Amino acid sequence: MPETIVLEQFPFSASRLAADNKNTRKQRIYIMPTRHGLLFGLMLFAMLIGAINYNNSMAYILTFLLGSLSLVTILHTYRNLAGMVINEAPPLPVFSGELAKFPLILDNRNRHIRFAITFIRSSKKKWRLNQTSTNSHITTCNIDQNQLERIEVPVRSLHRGLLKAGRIKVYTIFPLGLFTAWSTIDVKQACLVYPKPEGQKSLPPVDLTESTGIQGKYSGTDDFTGFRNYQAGDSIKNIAWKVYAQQKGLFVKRFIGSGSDKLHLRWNDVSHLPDIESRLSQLCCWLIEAESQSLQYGLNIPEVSLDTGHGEKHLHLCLASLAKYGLKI
Amino acid sequence: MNSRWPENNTSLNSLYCLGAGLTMSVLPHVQRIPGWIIVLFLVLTIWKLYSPSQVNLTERKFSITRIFLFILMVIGIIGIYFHFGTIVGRNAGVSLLVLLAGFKIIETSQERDFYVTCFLGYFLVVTTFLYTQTIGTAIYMSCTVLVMTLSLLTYNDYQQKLSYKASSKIAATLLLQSIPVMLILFVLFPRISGPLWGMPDDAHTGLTGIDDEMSPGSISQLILSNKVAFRVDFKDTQPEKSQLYWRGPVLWYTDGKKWTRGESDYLDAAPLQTMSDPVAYTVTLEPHNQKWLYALDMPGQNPELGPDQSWITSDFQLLTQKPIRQRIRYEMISYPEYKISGLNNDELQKSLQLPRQQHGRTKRLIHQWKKEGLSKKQIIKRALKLFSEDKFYYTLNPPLLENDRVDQFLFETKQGFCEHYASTFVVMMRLAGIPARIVLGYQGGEYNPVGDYFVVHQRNAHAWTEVWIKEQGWTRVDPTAAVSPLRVIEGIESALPGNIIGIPLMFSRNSLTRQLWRRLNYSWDAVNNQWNQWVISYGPKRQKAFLAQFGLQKIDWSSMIFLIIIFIVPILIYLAFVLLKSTPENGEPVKRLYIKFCKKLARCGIHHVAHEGPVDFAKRAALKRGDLSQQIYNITDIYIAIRYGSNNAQIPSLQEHVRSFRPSTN
Repeated sequence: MPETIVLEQFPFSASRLAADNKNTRKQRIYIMPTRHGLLFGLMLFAMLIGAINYNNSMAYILTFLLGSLSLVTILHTYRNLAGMVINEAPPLPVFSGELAKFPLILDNRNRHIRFAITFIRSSKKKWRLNQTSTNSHITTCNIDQNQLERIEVPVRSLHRGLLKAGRIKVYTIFPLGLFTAWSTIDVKQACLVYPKPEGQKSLPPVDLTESTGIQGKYSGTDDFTGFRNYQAGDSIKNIAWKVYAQQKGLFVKRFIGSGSDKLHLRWNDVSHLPDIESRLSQLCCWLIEAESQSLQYGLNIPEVSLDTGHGEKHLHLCLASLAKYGLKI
Repeated sequence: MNSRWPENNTSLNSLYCLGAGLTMSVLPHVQRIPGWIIVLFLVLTIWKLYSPSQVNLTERKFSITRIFLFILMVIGIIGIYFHFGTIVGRNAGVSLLVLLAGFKIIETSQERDFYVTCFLGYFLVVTTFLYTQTIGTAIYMSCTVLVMTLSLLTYNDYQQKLSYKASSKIAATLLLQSIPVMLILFVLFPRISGPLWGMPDDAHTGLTGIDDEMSPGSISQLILSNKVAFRVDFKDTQPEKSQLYWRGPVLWYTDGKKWTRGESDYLDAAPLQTMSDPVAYTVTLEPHNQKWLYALDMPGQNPELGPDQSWITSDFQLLTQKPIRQRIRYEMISYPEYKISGLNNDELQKSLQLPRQQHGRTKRLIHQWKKEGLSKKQIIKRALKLFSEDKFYYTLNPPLLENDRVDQFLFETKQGFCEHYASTFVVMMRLAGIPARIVLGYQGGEYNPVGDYFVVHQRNAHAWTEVWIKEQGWTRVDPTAAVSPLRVIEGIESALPGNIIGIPLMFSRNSLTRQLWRRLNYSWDAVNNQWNQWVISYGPKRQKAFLAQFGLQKIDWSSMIFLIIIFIVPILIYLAFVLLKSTPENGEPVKRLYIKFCKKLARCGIHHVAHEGPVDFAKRAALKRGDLSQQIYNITDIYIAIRYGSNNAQIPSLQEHVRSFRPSTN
């Protein structure tokens, strides 16, 4: 059961039921004035000086009202985050260079709407809390009272392998933008990053003897080998219309030829490329190509040997082994 | 995040609020700053609101629009400089702020600009308070602050889910929740008296009081003011009401239209022969932005405000070095009965000065009196008799005088106010060769039996004359008293005609509604008075007095700040409690009862799991604790009946069952 994160609640606030659960982790919420909050403070100071200088009661009142407003805003900003429950969901694999999206399920168990909750991958420079680095992507959402909301935190993937979202900062400056309440959540889920598909698209020549086994001798010509039952997705060209006309059912003619050869992608095929990453990229590119051409393909690289197969699951298996190649994960 | 405009058009809502808020905070200044600045501000604001993205200045640093706007702003600042001759005064400063607000809103395309513009709007609200602090202003400005806060709120509502109504509600809630802490700060924040530095010269133009020159209408304007001029605390004896002439500036010089003081400021006082016991008293003078003090006729001493701060002149004015801009208190001694002897040539000349070739008809009248062989004293009496017997009226709304004001008043309109009578009388005396001068000041006062002091209001402003009679010296003559004796004996209130109160038509029909109106008026006046007493004039003195009521006579600022914290912290904790409490999850009473039941079971080691329904949980619990199974099933059944069968009638039964459910922990 994945971990549930509860953003800190006030001692006397409810939804403790969730917090009592073993799988939950409490996370502290911090509050700081934003840049604009500091500017607001500066303006209040100027107002106060003016009020003192002119001994003007209404100026005093306005200054104190706005000062008090900022105090109240602290509470509201805090409330906007406090008690929110966050669950992780597994992210889908991406190719290197793409945006990895880490899904989070936000659970608002309170009676008020949470406005403008923003998620951003926490930058390493922790002291620049109000600074959002340009290459980080932000996600913002509202969560209605007693509702779940699913959001995705995008993180740019730079290398193949397992990408950890690491610390994600969740913050809000609602309602007035004077204060920011934030917390960091450690996202445990990792996103698998395939190598970037790069290189030439044309598939390597099929090694006849090894790749096709016994049936290799019939290769070169489209030799008829028999019938099999029709399955959805079979080419219309291969349907045995004569058999169908005899009302014996829908059958597909089977041929053995180069087009349906079993393709084994091997380390040797890419040995001409200078480094491991470009080799993996080339293999990745070929795997996708093979899948799109509906070939039966397998993968043979050091430490990993995958038999021929076809389909999305098989592709993922192959790509995953490329992604993890040489990495201790 | 940095620029949500223009790609996100929905943020327009906050821009509209900002424009509305700024306009609201600028509008009260319409009367005070040049019209072209207001027009420029409105044009810029409407331009921005009409096409927010067109005037987007972030795209290119030096677009033509940007350069045009920059030049326009420089022209605007130069314009302000030429209009006011400065850019630092109060009016000039406000003009500059309004101009700045206009140019700031037009370049608002980034987050920072938005906040800066918004804060500028808040600041503009304060500038209005430098001019007026009435209840009406306070209400209007509360609305303005609400709109400004609304603009901040809508700006931070990224997804624009909130309607105007919903966000107004949130903004209003925020502001209302801020009021308690605001009140604490207002009452307890240590007040400092006096300005921190020099204020701009035009900072006090709003102060009312008697001017140092007199033209028809200058006093009748003051009469309509209910403001307090000063308060007087008599030490032992109170003089009679008809003797309450509070002496201010003395006017010598006339050009036929207005009267001015002339130059007597630095001469020593003329010898004063006292003929009665001195009257000792303390005056608390409200700031009036003029360089003189008021004292009862005749002041017998220099009030000693400080070295070289005040002095007494030959015509018994009390002058000060600096304009009175703070409420001050001074002790005085006066002699109601006196004789001033000595009239030097300079004074004689001044007290007979008249404009050339004016007042022809008056001159002929005086000549006629002289021909009749009247002595000087008789001429004085005759003139006063003329005022009292010849259908002269005492009115606040005299007909407008053009041409020769004295002649016109004396022979045609015959309706006037104290300044008319005083100036005409002095002209007549001077024509007759009797040295005369005008004295401005206040007459009368309202006795406050509660506080045992006299309050002199602006409406007590008065002008009277002094004539030189050889045997008596300078003698006070009040020509107004000849016309309207009540004015002097019973005070201005009795002399004011009823229509001054200005009862609206719908109330003037019958006596009942008239009474109602009057009562409303009194109440409004009382509210205003309280407002002035407790809000506007809550300064260092008031604060001291207020805290003294709670036994905090000698409290320094550090303990005041301590007090503030003591009061504010519980308020904030209470607010936090209200805000962060309650969630519906166990907010419903029925659910709460069930949770209570689960907790009781948890104590004997049977924990409710989040994904477990009540029936499954009951089965599991009953298996573990066979002895309790009957009770467990009972409670679960009732709970299900209420929660899923809406059988609310069973709520008390559930309450009872849960309360009596006491599993033994073993």
